[in-house]
Amino acid sequence: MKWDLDSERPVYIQLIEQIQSGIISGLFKPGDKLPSVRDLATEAMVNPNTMQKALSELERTGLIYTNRTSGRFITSDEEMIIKLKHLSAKELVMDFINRMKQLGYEPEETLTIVTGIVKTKE
Amino acid sequence: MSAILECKSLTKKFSSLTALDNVDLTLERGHIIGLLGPNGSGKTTLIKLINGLLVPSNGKLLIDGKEPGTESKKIVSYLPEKTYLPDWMRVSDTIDFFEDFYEDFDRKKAYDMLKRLQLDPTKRMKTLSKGTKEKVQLILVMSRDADLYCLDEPIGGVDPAARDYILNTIISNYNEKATIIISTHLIADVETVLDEVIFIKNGKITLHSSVDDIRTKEGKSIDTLFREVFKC
Amino acid sequence: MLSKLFKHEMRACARLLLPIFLILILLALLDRIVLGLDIFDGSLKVIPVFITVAFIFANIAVGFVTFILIIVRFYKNLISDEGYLMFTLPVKASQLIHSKLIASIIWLLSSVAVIFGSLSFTFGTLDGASEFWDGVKTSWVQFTQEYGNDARMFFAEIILIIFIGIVCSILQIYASVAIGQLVNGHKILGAFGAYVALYTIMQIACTIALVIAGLAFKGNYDDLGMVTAIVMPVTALFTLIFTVIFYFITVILFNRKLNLE
Repeated sequence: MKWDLDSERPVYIQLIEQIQSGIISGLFKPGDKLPSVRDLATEAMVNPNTMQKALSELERTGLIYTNRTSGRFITSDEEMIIKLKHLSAKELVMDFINRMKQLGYEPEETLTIVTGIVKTKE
Repeated sequence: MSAILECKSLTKKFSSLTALDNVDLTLERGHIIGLLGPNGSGKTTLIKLINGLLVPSNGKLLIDGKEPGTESKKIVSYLPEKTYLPDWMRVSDTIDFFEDFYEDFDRKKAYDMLKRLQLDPTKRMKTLSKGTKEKVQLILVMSRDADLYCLDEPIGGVDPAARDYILNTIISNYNEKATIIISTHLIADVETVLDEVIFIKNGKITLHSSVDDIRTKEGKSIDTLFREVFKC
Repeated sequence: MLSKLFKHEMRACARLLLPIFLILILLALLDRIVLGLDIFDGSLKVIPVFITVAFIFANIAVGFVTFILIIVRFYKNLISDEGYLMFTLPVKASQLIHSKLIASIIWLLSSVAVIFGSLSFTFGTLDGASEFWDGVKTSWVQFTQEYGNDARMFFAEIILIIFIGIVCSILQIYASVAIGQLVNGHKILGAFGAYVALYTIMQIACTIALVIAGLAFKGNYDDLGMVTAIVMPVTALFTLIFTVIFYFITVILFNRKLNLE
């Protein structure tokens, strides 16, 4: 998995987001076993404590669970994943609409532009 | 387990100059900590004190509850900025040397790392380039199972690929009972590997916080903050 | 730990000294052969002369190099960048000093043995040699007969003084290096200066002590008696005192005032 971290925002939040993306996009399949904290941290080139913090947070939300003897796994709850997918999509769209507003486009205009572009792409 | 490092009113003076001024500092185990500050800020003095190469003028410095000495040197692994290995030794000789004096040295690990970096153990130190010498030293230091690692500019003179390997080695060496102190100018490159940073200026500690707390609070990278704080 | 330090110290010095000893031994062999042959006539006589001169110089060089090596090794291994390695080992500063001191004494005595051995080997069978040794034996017999016990005391004390003298000289160098490293940027110059200063102090103190002892003990001694009873013991004692002083200067400075780089 390719880790893309910017330097301004807290690392653990970005790790949470990237793991969530991985789960949503299917890179991590439901029920998949996650690599160890150290392996993940090494891959992402981040501090293991920070990675641990991100994983603990994901565990709290239920996206990941720990089996004491065998390690960490992605949840098999496909519904939760789909809900997360929708939530992420909604956030992306809201963010986009706001950014277009900053450019001067009202949401109605934004919708027209988007529809136009999507139609031409087909 | 006790804190790995405790400084209480630690002061070091050199005739006219106060290199460290009443420093209070506690470092817990299981962290990778950046010691950041301009030249002459007291970074090197602090590291030398930790390694028993200097004696405090005032105050106390305790490593795992002990004062610097023979016992503390057994659990502290030091990588200085300079090449400190005798240049007539072969790489294999240096490994034998470390194994001889340090009980926590892992010979197999050292040879594995040499192999990964494609370094020839039969070569004499004096025939190696500066960057290669630094890699050898890093391998020796990281092949010890110490409680406190002091790395002074570990990625300074190496190419980007080796830099990544070194940072990976540091991360994968992590364990909850040990702490790694990295003193460096190349903050941007190591920022994500650190979980805590210490800013030091004119012998005083001006900041000691976690990387994420700083990013949350200031909304900028440690590198950016550093440039602001230490603007000339 | 001390044995490990000692082992490394011996090894590090052997790298340079063993080859030099070997060269000397080979030159000894060559010279002995050349001197034994009688085939050089006229201008060719230059060859044996040249080889003999080279051999003599080699002997001097071996003594010189051994001495220099002891100094350089101490400085390089403890004060230059290698000091960062040595002083962060889990050993005491005193152990570092002890290992180097013992190794230095061994190598110094070895060089003397090799020099003496090679000279005896090469020149020992020459025509004048046996007469020389006969002369030495006769002198010894005469000397011991005339002075009896005093003569034996004399030689025993000489050996003791020489040995203490060697240890003192080495520690004097160590102390000079320990003092010199305090001077930022001019450590070597500082060491030289310290050596001169220590030497001067030692000479003055020793002279004063001898004068005092001489004045205090206005006894009924003949010359040799005075020497064995007063001069040599006082010299030995003084050298010993200074040896201890130099030792503690070195240990204390390394423990409290180490100034690497």
